[in-house]
Amino acid sequence: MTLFLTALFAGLAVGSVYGLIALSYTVVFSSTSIFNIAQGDLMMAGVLMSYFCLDRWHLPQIVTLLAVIVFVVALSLLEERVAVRPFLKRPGLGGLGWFIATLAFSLIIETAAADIYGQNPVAAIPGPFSGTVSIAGVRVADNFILAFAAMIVVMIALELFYKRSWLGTAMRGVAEDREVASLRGIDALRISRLAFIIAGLVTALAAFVVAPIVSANVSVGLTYGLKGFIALAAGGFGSLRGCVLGGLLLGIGEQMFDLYVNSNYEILAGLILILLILAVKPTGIFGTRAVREV
Amino acid sequence: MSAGEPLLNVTDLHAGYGSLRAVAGITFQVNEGETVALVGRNGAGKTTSLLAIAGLRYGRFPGTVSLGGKDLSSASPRQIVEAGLAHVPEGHRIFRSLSVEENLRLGAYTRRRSGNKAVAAAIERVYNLFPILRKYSTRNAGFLSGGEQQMVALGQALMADPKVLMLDEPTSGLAPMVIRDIYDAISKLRDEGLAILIVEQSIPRALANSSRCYVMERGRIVMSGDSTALAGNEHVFAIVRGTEDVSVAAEQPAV
Amino acid sequence: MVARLGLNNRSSARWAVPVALIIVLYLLPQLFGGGQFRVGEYEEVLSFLIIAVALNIAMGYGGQYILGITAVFAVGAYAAVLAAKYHPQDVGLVAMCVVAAIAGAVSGLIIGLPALRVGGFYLALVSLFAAMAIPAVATQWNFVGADTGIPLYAVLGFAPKINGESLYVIVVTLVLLATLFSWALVHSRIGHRFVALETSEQLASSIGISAYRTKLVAILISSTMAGAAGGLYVYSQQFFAPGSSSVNLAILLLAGLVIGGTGTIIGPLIGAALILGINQFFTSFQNYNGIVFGVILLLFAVFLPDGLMARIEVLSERLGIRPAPGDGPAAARTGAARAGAAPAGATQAAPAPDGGGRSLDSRSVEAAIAALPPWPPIIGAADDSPLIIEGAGRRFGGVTALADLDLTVERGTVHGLIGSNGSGKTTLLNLISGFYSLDAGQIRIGANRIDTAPAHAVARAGIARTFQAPKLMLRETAVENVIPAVELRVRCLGAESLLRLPRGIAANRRAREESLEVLESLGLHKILGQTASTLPHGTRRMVELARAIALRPSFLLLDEPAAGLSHAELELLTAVIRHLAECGVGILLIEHNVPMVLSVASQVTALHQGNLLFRGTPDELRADTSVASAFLGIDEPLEASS
Repeated sequence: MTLFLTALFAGLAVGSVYGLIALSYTVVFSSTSIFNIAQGDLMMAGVLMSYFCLDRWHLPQIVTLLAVIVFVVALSLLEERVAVRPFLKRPGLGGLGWFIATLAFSLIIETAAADIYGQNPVAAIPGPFSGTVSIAGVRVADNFILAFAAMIVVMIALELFYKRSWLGTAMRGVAEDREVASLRGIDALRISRLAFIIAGLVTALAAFVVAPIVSANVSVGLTYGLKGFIALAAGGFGSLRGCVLGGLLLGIGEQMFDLYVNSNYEILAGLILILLILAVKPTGIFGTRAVREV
Repeated sequence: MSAGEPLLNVTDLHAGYGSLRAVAGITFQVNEGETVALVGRNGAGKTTSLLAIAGLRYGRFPGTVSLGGKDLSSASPRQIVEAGLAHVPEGHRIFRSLSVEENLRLGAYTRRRSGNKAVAAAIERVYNLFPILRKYSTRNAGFLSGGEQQMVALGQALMADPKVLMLDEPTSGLAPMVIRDIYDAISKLRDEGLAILIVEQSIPRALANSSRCYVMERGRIVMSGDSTALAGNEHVFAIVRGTEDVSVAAEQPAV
Repeated sequence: MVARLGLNNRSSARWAVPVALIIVLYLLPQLFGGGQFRVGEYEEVLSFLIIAVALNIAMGYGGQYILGITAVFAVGAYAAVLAAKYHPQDVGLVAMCVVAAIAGAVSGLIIGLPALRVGGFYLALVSLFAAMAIPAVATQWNFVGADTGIPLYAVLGFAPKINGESLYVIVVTLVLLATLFSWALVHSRIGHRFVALETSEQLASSIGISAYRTKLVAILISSTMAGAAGGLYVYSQQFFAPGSSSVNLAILLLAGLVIGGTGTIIGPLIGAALILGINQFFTSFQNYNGIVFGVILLLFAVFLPDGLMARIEVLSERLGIRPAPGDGPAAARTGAARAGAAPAGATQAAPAPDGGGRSLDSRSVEAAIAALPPWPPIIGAADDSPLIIEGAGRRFGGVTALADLDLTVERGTVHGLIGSNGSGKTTLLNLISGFYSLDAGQIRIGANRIDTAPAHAVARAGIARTFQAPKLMLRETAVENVIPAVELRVRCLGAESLLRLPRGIAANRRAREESLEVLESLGLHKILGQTASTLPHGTRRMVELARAIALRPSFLLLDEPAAGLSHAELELLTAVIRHLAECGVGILLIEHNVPMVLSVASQVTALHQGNLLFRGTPDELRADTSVASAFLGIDEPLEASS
C-alpha cells in the first residue's frame, strides 16, 4: 500500500508538470491554432536558468523565480516574433510550415542549452522547500505538493482570466474568428503575442516548481514537450480541466507502470495512453472541439 | 469639418486578392446622417470594397479612404473602429462560442477603458433596439437563430459607438418578419443621426431605405443617383439581374 | 502539343546535372577516399537517404506528416538484426530487407493508424513520440542488446556474401531504385490520389477517392520503405544500437526535406544528402550543429517553404534552361511568390487576372458547341432511377439551413435551384455529396440510400459535382487535374499502374487520352499543359467542369458554375449543360443567374430560408410573382420584357 501511495504522489507531482505544459499549449493554441512544440524546451531552458541561479550563483529562491520568469517569457516572445508571427499573417496559417518553424526553434534551444551546460552530469537543484509531510502514512516531498498546487492555481487563474477579463474574452473571440475580432477593433496580432507571454509565464512557473523534481537535464526538452502533448490530447484540446486531468493521468499512469510492469520501459506508458485515447475517444476526455483536420 | 464635406469619403479605391483585382477604382461618399445603398451582382466587388474600407486588405492597393477628414487609407482595422467606422460583414458572423452578452461586450473592446457603466449603458441601448436579445443574454450565441445572430452582429458593431455603420447584406436568408425587425432598427438608427452604408441584394428594399444609391458591376461603379430617381430606372434591375451587359469603361487594369 | 504537355520536353541541360550527380555518387570512394571505414559512412548516409525518399512520399506528396518515421526504421533494423542473429546462415541482404520491410510496415500501421482519424499535426507528434520511445525502450531491453546493440560481426556463422566495393555499388543502386520507385509512384494513379488528398479532402471525395484509404496507403508504403532501409543499414553496417536512430535523425531528415523542397522527387534527396553529409563528415562543429541546422531550418520554413529546388527552377528559368513562364511549375512558384500566397495545399492561390491567356473566344466556342462529343453516363448507369431527396433537414446550432425539403432530379433533365444567399442551396449540395450528415430525411438514388454512405462513395455511385470556388490541384497541369477522375472508371490495380505493368500502362494512357478529349471538347486545348495556378478564374471553372464530366457521372451537381465566366464561357457552359442532359445525365444546377437557369432547366425549385418557396416549370416561374417578391421584393415578372 505504501508503495502504491508513494507512486501515486510521485505521479501527481510529475503529472502536474505535464499538466502545466499542457496548459501552456492550450493558451497558445486556443488563440492562434498553433501547437507550439517548443514549449517543452522552453521549460527545460527555465530549469537550466534555475540551476544556474541556485547551484552556480547561489541566488535566493525568490530572485531565481523572477529570473526564470523573465528569461522564459523573453524566449517565448522571441519565438513568437521569429517562428510564429510570419505564419499568423498568412491566410489559413500557410499550411504546416509553422510546425516546422517551432520545431526548428526547439532544436536551437536544445542545442544551445546543451552547449551552455556542457558535459556535466545531471545536477540536482534545490527546491523552495526541503522538507516532507506525511500524508496517509507516506512521506511526500513538499516540492511535490508545490508542483500540484501550482498547476491547480494556474488552471483556476486561467479560467478566471478567460471568463472575467477583457483580454481573456478577447482572446476567446480571436480564437474563434480572427477576422470578426479585427473588425470589432481587437488587434489579433497583439493578442497572439499576449498568448505567448502568458504561456511563457505558465511555463516559467512550471520550470521553477519542477526543477527540484527533474534536475538539470538538457536532453529532456522534447520529451517533456511530447508528453505535454499526450496530456493535452488525453484530456481534450480546448479544455483547461482536460489539461489537468490529462497531465495527472499520464503522470500517475507512468508511475503505476513503473510499479506494476517495468520501470525500464516507463516511456511506453505514454505511447499506450495516446494510442488508446486515439482509438477510443480521439477528441480527448473533456474534448470540446475536434482538432481541425489539415 | 464643414457642413458640405462628406463624412465618409472613398476615392479611387482598389482592392483584391494577390493578383486578382476585385475592385478597380471606385469613388463614393456618405454624408452625415445619410443612408446610402450599394447594389450589384454577386461578384461585383461590393463585399471586397467594404472589407477594404474597414481595413482588411490583402495586398497593397491604391485609393484613399477618409472619415471626417481623417485619412484612414493605411489604418489598421482597430484604428478604423476607434475613428468611428464599424463594419458588419455578411453572414451574421459573431463569436458563436461566447454568450450574447460577451459578444456585445467585445464590440465595445475599443471603449473598454471608459468604464463598466458606460459599457453597460451601451448594452442596454442594444437591448432596447433588439428586445429579443435581452432574453438570451447568457445564452451561447451559436444557439440563436440566423436572424437573432444577425441582431447580435449589428449590436456588436453599435457597441463601439460608430459615426458610420457599414452593413453587408444584413438581411440575406432571413424571414420577412425578421427582415422587417432589422430594418425597423435601422430606421431608428437613421433617426438618431447615424450615417449608414448598406449593401443589399434586393434593389427595391435598398432603394426604399436609402436616400442615394450606387450600382457596382465588375469592380466599378457604373451608375449612381437619388434612390427615388433610380427606382423607376429599368437598367438598374437589368444590371443586377445580369441580363444587361454593361460595358465597363476599360477591362481590368494591368496588375 | 507535345511541348505543351510538358512531358518529354527536357533540354539536355536538365538531364546533365542529375546524370553527373549519379556518376559522382557511384565514384565517391574513388574520388574522396575509400577506406573501409569511410565507405561504411557513405553507406550509412545512403541508407538514411532511403528514409528521406520514404518520408517524401508520405509527407511531400501525401501530406501525411509521419515525422517520426525513424521509429519505423528502427523497428525494421532491429527485426533484421535479430533475424541475422538467430539464423546467421540463412539470412542475406534480401532476407534482411524483406523481414525489415514487413516489421516496418506493421509498426508504421500501429503508430499511424490511430492518429489518422484526427489528422493534422497529431500524426507528426505521435510518430515523434514513437521515434523517441523506441530507442529508449531498446536501451533497456537485453533481448536487442540494450545499450550496446547487437554487433553482427560477433555472431558466429554470419558472413555477409557481399562486401567492399560491390556492396557500395549495390547500396547506391538501391537508393536509385527507391528514387525511381517514388517517381513511378507519384506519376501513377496512387500518386494522383495522394496529391488530390493533399489538396483537399473534399476534392478527393468528389472524385471518389477515399481519404482514409489513401492515407493508409501512404503510410503503408513509406513505412515499408523505411523498414527496408533499416534492413539495408544493418547489412552494410553489421550492427544496430539505440543510438543509430533517434529523434535527431528524424529532425535532420525533415530539415533535408524542407530545404530540398517537398514537392519534388529530387529536392528532398539533395537536401537530405546535404544535411546528413554535413552532419556526418564535418563533425568538428557538431556541438553547434543543432543551432546552425535549427536556424537554417527556421529560415527555410519561413521564407523558402518550397525549398531549394524551387529556387533552382526559378534560376534555371532565368538562365533560359527551362521553358517560359506560364508553362510549368516554375511559373506557379514565381507567381505564388509574387502574389505572396501561402505555400502547399492550404489555400487556393489567387487566380491570374482575366486579361491574360484567355482560352476561349466566341469563334472557338461556336466550334466547340458544334462538336460536343456524346457523354452518356457510365458510373451509376446500371439503372434508371432518379436522385431523390426526401424530407431533408439540417441545422447548424440555432440556424435552420434546410427544413423538410423534397426534391427529385430525373435523369436526362436539368433541375434548377435558385434562392437568395443563405437559403440552403449549397447546404443541400453538401448534404448530397456527403460532406454533411442529414438531421432528418433521406437521399437516395432509386431505392439505394446514399446519405448514409461516406463522401467518396457518393461519387462512386455516380454523382459528380463542382464547387462554388473551384477546387483544383494547383501545382498540377490542367490534364493532370482531370486524370484522377477518369482513373475512377478505368479499372486497374494501383500496383499495376505503379509498376507500369501492361494493364497499368494501358490504363494510364487511356486515362490521359480521355482527359485530353474532355478538355479539348470544352475548348481548352490551349492550356492543357499549363499549371492550374496560372489559369484565370473562368478557365479554372471550365477545368473543374471537365473533371466532373470526365467522371461520366449519372448526376451532376453544379454549384454556381456561371459566376465569373466571360460571355463566351457562359455560352459554352449553357450548351454543355443542355448537351449533358440530352445524353442522359441528371443535372442539379444552383445559380444566381436566373435567366440562365430559366433557359436550360425543365424544372425549377426556389428555396427561401431553407424552405421550399416554389416548384414548377420555367414558364410557371416566370408567371409567378411570389418568387420575385421574395427575392427582389417587386411585383413584376422575373424577366424584363426586352
